[in-house]
Amino acid sequence: MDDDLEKKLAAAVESASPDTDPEAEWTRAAVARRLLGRAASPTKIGRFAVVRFVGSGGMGRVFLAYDERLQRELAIKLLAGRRSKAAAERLLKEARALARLSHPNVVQVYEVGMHGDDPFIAMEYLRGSTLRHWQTETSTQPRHILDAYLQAGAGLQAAHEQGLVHRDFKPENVFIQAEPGRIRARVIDFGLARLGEATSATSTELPTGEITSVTRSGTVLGTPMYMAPEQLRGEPGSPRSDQFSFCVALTEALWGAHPFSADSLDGLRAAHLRPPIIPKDPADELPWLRPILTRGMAAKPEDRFGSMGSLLDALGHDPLKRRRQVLVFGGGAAAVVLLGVAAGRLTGSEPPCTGAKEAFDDVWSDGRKDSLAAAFHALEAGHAAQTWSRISPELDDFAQRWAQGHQDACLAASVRHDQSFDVMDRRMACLDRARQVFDATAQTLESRAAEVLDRADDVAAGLPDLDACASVSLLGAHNRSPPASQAGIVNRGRGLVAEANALRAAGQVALSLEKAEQAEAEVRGLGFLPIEAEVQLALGRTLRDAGRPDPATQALAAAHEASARAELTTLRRDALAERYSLEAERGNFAVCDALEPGMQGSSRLPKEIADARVRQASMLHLRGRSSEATEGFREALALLEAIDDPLAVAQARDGLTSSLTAQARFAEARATGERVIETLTKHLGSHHPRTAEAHASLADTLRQAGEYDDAEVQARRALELTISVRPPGHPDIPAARRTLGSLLWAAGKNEQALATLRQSVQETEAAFGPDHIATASAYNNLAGPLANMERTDEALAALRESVRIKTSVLGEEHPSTARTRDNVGGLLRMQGHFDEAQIEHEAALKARIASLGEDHPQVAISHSNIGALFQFKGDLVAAEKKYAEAVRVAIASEGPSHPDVAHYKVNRANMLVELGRVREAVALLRSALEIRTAKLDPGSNALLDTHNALGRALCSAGQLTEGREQLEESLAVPPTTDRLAMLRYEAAFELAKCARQEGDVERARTAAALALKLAASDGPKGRAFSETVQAWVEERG
Amino acid sequence: MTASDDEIDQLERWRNGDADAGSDLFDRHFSSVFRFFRSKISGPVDDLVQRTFVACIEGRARIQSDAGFRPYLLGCARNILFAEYRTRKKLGSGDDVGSSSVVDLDPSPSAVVVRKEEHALLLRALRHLSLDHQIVLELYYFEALRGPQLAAALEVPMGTVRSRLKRGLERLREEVERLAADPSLAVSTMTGMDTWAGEIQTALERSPGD
Repeated sequence: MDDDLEKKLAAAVESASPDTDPEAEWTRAAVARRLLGRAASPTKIGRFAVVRFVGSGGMGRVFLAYDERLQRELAIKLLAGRRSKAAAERLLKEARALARLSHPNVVQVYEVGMHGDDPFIAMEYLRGSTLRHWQTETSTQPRHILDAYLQAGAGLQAAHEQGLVHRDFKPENVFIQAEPGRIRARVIDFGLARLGEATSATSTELPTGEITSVTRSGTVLGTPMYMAPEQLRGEPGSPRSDQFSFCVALTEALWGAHPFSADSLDGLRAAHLRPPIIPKDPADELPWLRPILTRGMAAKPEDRFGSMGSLLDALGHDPLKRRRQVLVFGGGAAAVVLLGVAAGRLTGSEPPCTGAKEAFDDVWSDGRKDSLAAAFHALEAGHAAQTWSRISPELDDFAQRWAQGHQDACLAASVRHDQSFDVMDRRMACLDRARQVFDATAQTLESRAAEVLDRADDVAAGLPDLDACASVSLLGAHNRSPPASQAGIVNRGRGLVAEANALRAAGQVALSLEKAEQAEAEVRGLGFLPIEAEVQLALGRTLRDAGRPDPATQALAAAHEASARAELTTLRRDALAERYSLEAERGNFAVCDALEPGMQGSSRLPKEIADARVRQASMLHLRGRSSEATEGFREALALLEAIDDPLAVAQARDGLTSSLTAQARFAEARATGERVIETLTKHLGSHHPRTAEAHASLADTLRQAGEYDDAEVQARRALELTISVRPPGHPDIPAARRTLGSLLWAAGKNEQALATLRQSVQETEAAFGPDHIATASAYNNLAGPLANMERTDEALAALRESVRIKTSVLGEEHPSTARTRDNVGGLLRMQGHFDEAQIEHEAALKARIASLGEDHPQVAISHSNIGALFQFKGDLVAAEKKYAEAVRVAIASEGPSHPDVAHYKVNRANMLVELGRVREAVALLRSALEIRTAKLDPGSNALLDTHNALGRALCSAGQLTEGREQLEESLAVPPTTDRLAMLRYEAAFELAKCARQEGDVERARTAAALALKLAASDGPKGRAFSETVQAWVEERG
Repeated sequence: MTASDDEIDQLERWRNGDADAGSDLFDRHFSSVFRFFRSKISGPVDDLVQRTFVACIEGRARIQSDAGFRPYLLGCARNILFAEYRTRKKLGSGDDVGSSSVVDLDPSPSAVVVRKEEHALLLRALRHLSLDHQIVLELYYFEALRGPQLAAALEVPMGTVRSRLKRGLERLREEVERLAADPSLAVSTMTGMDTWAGEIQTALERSPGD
């Protein structure tokens, strides 16, 4: 026996001093340094350098460490011991859950990792004292104790919301940090925190034995004195057992006596069966807490409060605090309200919460409304009166809803008691800010009526969302008013921000930027996060509009950070959404992906979820994933069905129109687009920027569907409306012109297109400057008709200008730059500069693959262009291969029945015919014809082109009858535009050839004559063609 | 000259400013001193370890050459440990620290990292023994000190050493059995707060049964 024990004892030394233990290492190094002057590299746990060993606590040892990367000190809890790998994993998992919790009243866990076989947790290093020490040692007033506990309770609540349970709440486990003017409670030592479930290894029944002393650590699962009865019975902890512990601790702290005093475990169990004992105290300052705490300490969990949240709300209702708050507020809306409440209590005469209207009066009185109306009517613009009649009810509506919100916030807390005064505080602060914005907006409308007239609707629509002030989840914990000393500056800052926003909404970008920069200068160095966030957001948006994406991104990132830290949920999401759409525009999809998770808020409102869906879908659309985008927009629409927000619905439909168009589902896209116009016309009026945009969008859809006439109607309407609602020089005007111009070009009306697009370039350059993306686009489009008219040098010049701008603003690999370079290649090809053309095409292809991936519609375009190049060079084999590649990519990215697939198939088929592989060509052309017949307008060029190609191929294959039929079909369409003419005389010529093959000389002659006739009126190209026909006629007779 | 003579020599040289000698001695004996304190004192022990070596250098005690350097060193450690307890618990010089146990003097959780299950109970039981017994057992079994060395370290006669060892083992067995039998007496890992010296440690995760 002795032997055995002795052996064990001897072996135990191994455990008593492990070799590679950080504490031992650190101690050795520290002593060696001091004693012997020995320098050594710091002991490390994970990537952190150990500064010193602090001590043992709970299941591990604590080190003070330093993070070189983030330059901050932190505490590391190293959980070394005997643990299986599985147990270590479980522990890490739980710790990670804790790391995800970020709350001002909970110690922050930074990182979780492994040091060899041992898990470690890196967290904030707190300095201060425990709640136990603080509440007993310092002479603390009961109110302050309550405040500290309410903070700790908030921390517990936050953890519960994340599915975590503390299981060992007591004053030793709350840390008190002293901050200027206040204290901050931090809950620590989530020692028994499990994710709300029992793990069998840990829940053991406590024996009914004596506990030798309640102060000595002597039980398996924790100090029993604060534990809930169910925990003593061995059940796992739950949020309600935390509630119990919290109430026990608070009771003890306030009245100095433990409500379930006992000196044995059995005694404790017995005490739990009786109601808690709270000493009587005639000088009691907080009598109303008793029933609340008693309920929180109910023996059965189901009898306690539903959650820590409801307990805290109940505890927060201090009638005396309200009276004191009046003194603290010192003016403003809330004071009026509160006086009303307190007065009501004392005199019982005034009804509570009636101060709202008064509170809003100084920003929106009848007098102010009148002067604003006068400002509008004084303008010499036809639509000023109409504009005023549209926006004035919106302003009235805002005032009314503001007053309602204000009253509701007051009633909820003081009469209905279903919200705490803390919540009321926050709602009032939010409403206060909203009021400031309204004030500044009204101010801007009045003083700059002339400049903002045309976008007054947008300005009015930019008023803050009052629903956000009522949503507790969006208010955030740090939504307080600024400290009195800063209030003046903050107000000025807010005023400037509101002005900047209003000006931006009015399209006055330069002025807006000025104001935003002023605002930034004004609030610099204040350190009041909410205003910082607001300023940076305004700045970011304005910079974006000004076409300066890099500083815009910086500002938006700053806005995001500040609003995250201040817990301003709506602002944070706005900043993120703005950044997201900015990056999507720039094609930085990787960044968008990274931002995506942050945008998944805990939004429960259908509107927010719908908004998020719309954003996602728009991004998918930009990335070429149109079918997914369509689904997304449809989902958003389904969500919006329940809400009465026609404008949001219109926006989602607008997106849907674009994605359907990209999918070539033209009929559906058209129907949707028309509905959008209908909705917007009804709700905003036809003379509204958004309505004009909707017309332009529909024009684009119709253009792609080949319905050029209808498209032209829409595009002209869009331009007309835009000119009527925008001031001259506004960038929207050249944009609308560009849409019209592109359309005219697609329809083959080259002269008109050129004139329109030239004007568009001039206007764009005037509005944005020579180095702006919009100018680049304008030049790009200009090249189209020039190329068609074979003025290739001019076209090339225009394109090169576009490439120059895009390369400098977007970079070489951006899809937009690639697109333009591809066009350059096309032009060089037309000029016969094949080598240079190849360089451009291949650069474009490379850039597209790099930025969009291999299976993207634009990559197919590149392949096709290179194919065309080979075709021009006469290398038909290579051309055919390239076209085949284009077909493959188009099918992979757009699906087998997309018109683009048809286009490439036709190209390929043409090569195959030349190479003598006629049967393959015919098969391809049949497929292309099928697609085009299904998707396109019967009179469209593409369809005719296909008939021509198929006819030619069939004739080559000897299927003369069918071939002839195809060609005749082509000829049957009446001529309307230049290009169509070419297709027709080509068709006629082919028909002649085919008929000749058949031996039908008569028909051949007629056809040839028709060809000549048609070609004669088509300028130089036609004349060249005529010569070919003549030559053929002469040859064959 | 024996190895221990070498070390005494080294100590002399260290006393006279030979840092290399000191370094060598330190490296060889650090672990013993470290674990001596580790099992009896909560919180960082760097200061105590340092003081032990300093006491060695500065001490004027003659080292009994047949006992050697290590017992001398560990004897210093013991003295410093007892002095520390006296300070912390505000005990007078007349109080017999040696008859108290670690759990009496310092109930904070042990900072000893126990890697093997079978050692856990033993190391825990040791904390319930009187310091005199715990130390004699540790010096014998962990540090492999024998008779005269033990006497030198503990500054007691050989007879006392023998009886302490015998009694110590008996007590150890008793404690092992007692602890094994009653789980409610298992060491709590729960308190987490060592408020000594005004520093607060932050603890985070727990699972029972160290």
